[in-house]
Amino acid sequence: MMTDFYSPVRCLVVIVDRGKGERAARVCRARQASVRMVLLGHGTASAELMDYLGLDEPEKELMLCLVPDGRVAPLLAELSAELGFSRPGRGIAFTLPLSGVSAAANCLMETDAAHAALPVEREGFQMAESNRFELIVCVAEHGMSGEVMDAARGAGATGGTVLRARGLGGEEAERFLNITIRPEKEVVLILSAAAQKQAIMKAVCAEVFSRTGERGIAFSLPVSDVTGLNLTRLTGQPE
Amino acid sequence: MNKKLKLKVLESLHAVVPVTLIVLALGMTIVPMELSTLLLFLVGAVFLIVGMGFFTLGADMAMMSIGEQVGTQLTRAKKLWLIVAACFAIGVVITVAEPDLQVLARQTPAVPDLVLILTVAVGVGFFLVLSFLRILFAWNLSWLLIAFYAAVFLLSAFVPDAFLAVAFDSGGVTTGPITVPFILALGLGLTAVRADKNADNDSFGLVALCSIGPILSVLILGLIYDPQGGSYTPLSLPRLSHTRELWLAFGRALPDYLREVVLALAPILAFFLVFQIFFLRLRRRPLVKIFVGMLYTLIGLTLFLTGVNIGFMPAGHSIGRQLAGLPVRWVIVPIGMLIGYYIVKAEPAVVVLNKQVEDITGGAISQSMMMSGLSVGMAVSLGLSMVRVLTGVSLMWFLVPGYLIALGLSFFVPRIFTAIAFDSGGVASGPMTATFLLPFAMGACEAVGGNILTDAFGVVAMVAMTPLIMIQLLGLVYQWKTKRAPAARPERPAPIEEEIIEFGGSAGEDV
Repeated sequence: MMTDFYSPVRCLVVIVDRGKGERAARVCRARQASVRMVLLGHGTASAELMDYLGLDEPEKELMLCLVPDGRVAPLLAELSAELGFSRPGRGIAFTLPLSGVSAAANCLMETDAAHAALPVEREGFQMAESNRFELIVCVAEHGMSGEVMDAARGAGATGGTVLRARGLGGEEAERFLNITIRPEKEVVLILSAAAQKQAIMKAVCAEVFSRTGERGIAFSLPVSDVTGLNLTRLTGQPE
Repeated sequence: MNKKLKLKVLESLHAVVPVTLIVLALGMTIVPMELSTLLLFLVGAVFLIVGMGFFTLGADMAMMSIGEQVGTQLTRAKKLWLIVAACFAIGVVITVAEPDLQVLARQTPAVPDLVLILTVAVGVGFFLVLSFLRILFAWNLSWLLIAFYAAVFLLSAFVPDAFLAVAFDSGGVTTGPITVPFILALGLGLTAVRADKNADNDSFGLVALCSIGPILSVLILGLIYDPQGGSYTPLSLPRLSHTRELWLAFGRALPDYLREVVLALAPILAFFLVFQIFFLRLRRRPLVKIFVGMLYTLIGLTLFLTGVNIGFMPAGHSIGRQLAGLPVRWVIVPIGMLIGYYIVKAEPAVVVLNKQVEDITGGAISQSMMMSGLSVGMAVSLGLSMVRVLTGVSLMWFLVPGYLIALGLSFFVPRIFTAIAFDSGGVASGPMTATFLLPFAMGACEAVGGNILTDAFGVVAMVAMTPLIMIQLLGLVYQWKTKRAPAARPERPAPIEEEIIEFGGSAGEDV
């Protein structure tokens, strides 16, 4: 079913090779898109041999940015042109609909763009059902991203991005003298066609989480606009 | 072409080509080089490029990975005795295996080799333990550095001048291209599982403290053994008559350096295996990657050391000698600075450090920012070293004010910059310094007829000192810029109820 709420503000996510984030940020700045944040991550290995040889897992930058709905389409087009997203492997950009933002963030957006009250277009819903995407987020113990990705790829995923994180579960926090110890986690982001989402999430959960006994969490988010993904390859694949 | 491979190739070209071009340009203009020296240099440069690529790849996959895992495990074990014992053992073992230490031991004939090696190793072990205790008990790095450098300078007043340069050089020498990534990653691992606010700041500063260890140990030995001064082996420039000799020059040296690197890597591998068996239990894939990474490090470092020792050493010596012999001697100062500016890029451990700084700070301190800071630092230190070679001013006239400034700055810059700066001091003075810059200074010294032991040695100490100031200055600039930036934002956040919530959709998960 469609995620049928309308979101006036979207979270733009741009994933590019390390070092190109500044260029993406420049485009966003020129377009008055505010609240930018950069995270460092790395891509996932696509072939086992290359991974063993250490020639995989290219380093990535992930940029987050809040964009009013009406300005998403031109911004994505410009990002795509500037960073060459039309060629495979150059990076991707997509937006996540938001159900709410804090007043401060909203305020920031409005001050950044004097014309915040743009006409509302519901263009996020122009995509055909078969072209819809979802963002799968898996949280696993540190060192599990390889297994997560293997399982996901088996179910049709083409690639992902890994972020390093620390767990914050209240009962897991340990103290040792002056330091607080938190377990390390890895967050794997996988953009998939809506039709394949179930299969990928099931594969990830079944093959990895249950088999190796590692605990972990996976959830998915609706994605409204995508650029830079090899669309035909993703959606053209049979399930 | 594979994206990462392409990146690596570009990275190593970027590191080695600039300094190669400078040397070539010099050779074709003001300092004519012998053809055999030139050929050795060019082949050496190729060795360096390939070696650098393998090394940085391997350091990433193996050294960093092992250091990090071991560090993480140690913190999570939460047993103080285990941490102290393990850190001490790591410090001692990796120092004993460090090839540069054997060279240092030979340079100080007054002290028996074994005594020197063990003393330095215990020194590094002690300081590695100390740097971890510092993190646990939240001791301030600046005060520790001040206390220990005060001790260093106090001791140095009682040690003969000729021995002093060797002592200060030892600090840079023992933090080589294998130990640096390992210790850096150990710091990263020790702090990776921490959630308190100082975690990121504390992941640096280990190399900083560890490079004081050797200086103090050698100075103490200098007091006990009352040495007559160090010695050095005069360089013999190889002369080639045909192409096979060119190949043989490298071919003969290769097994020696291979052995050195194997010896240096073995204890780290052993340590990792013990950890893997008892604590880590990594799965197959990361394990295979670590072994492949080890192999890369082995190949890379062997090629690098062979290239730099056989190819770069004679060229450095010959350039230094001829430049200082020119009618206008002082040209060696700006040319030295130019070489210094570019040569730091070819120092393998520097690449590793810069990358880690970028990772830890989430890109706030970028690799290129670090590199430019280090390049300027290196240029300054080379300039000053050349002035020293020409004039024979005592090393202390530069080191004492330099360290005073560096330690003073540590109270004004963000803490992470102090830690990174003192780390980079040990990192900047690696094999490239020892095999190119030192011969360069020695050659210059021979030409001016100065005292090689007091004037030429000490280059390493200078190279280890200037980054402390430069990187901290970078921190000052950074602080100044970030303080100014957020001033433009008005508006205090309004109450939380003002969240904008559009209609909340029908639990849209069932595709």
